[in-house]
Amino acid sequence: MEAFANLFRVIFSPTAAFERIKEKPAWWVPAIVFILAAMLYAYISAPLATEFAQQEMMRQSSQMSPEQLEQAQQMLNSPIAKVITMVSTLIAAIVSILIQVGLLHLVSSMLGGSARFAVGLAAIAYANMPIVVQQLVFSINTVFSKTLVMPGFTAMLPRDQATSILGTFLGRIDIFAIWSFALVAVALSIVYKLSKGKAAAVVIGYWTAGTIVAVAASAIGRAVGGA
Amino acid sequence: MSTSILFIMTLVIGIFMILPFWMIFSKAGYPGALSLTMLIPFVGFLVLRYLAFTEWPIHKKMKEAGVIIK
Repeated sequence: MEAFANLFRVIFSPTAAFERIKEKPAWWVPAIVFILAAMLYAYISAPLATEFAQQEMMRQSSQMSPEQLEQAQQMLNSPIAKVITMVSTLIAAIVSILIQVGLLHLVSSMLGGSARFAVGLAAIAYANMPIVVQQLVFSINTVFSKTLVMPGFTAMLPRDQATSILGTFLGRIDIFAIWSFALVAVALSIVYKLSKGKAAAVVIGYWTAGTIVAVAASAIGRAVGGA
Repeated sequence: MSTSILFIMTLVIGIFMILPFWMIFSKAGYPGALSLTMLIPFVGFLVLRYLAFTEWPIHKKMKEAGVIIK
């Protein structure tokens, strides 16, 4: 029951929540909630995401032969594509949270912090609760507006610019992500016993590295795709 | 059908690629989850260099326990 209460406590009273999580690190509760929220949004947004992918494909169709275009469209609309989307979302959610915890655990340890991996996993999984709120808000918005929600400041750009390098960068400046990173900083200072300055530096470094990788991936993707 | 086969093959290759790294990181005393960074270009490169050139937690623990490492 305590583990479930911490899901809400971490939003309204993070310091008290992380003190409790440190004592009882039930990492599986926030991890399951995080995965379910990601899968819910993936399920709800799948038809619109397919439509968006088709529009992107049509935009780039000058580089594809008619056979390639037809084949790609058939693939996007096949029932197996929906199953693959759900399974990919499940795997991506698990892998992303493990990578996040692994890197933050490593850097926190390098800076003199100390905690068991399971405790770090629990704390950072709970710190991702704003992302769960984001997924729920996006899901509700998608159901009612029938439009795909773009994260962060990407919403300021035209829809066809969402996957551009600028769009990728602006997508990283997201209120829910910033809220989550603030909670991660609190979690690191409590669980790993890092100073507030070091915890903030770790989180800012993590965000910066993540942004560089995302923007570089977008640039490489566009260079290879020729867009 | 070919899409699903490709997806399953990617998964199997991914697991096959990650598993040895997971074992190495775990044996060195680091969280096995760090092996997943091998999936991220450049980040995996850096993490592997860190693993190669720093003292492993398992060695620190052995030193603390008085075990001599040759």
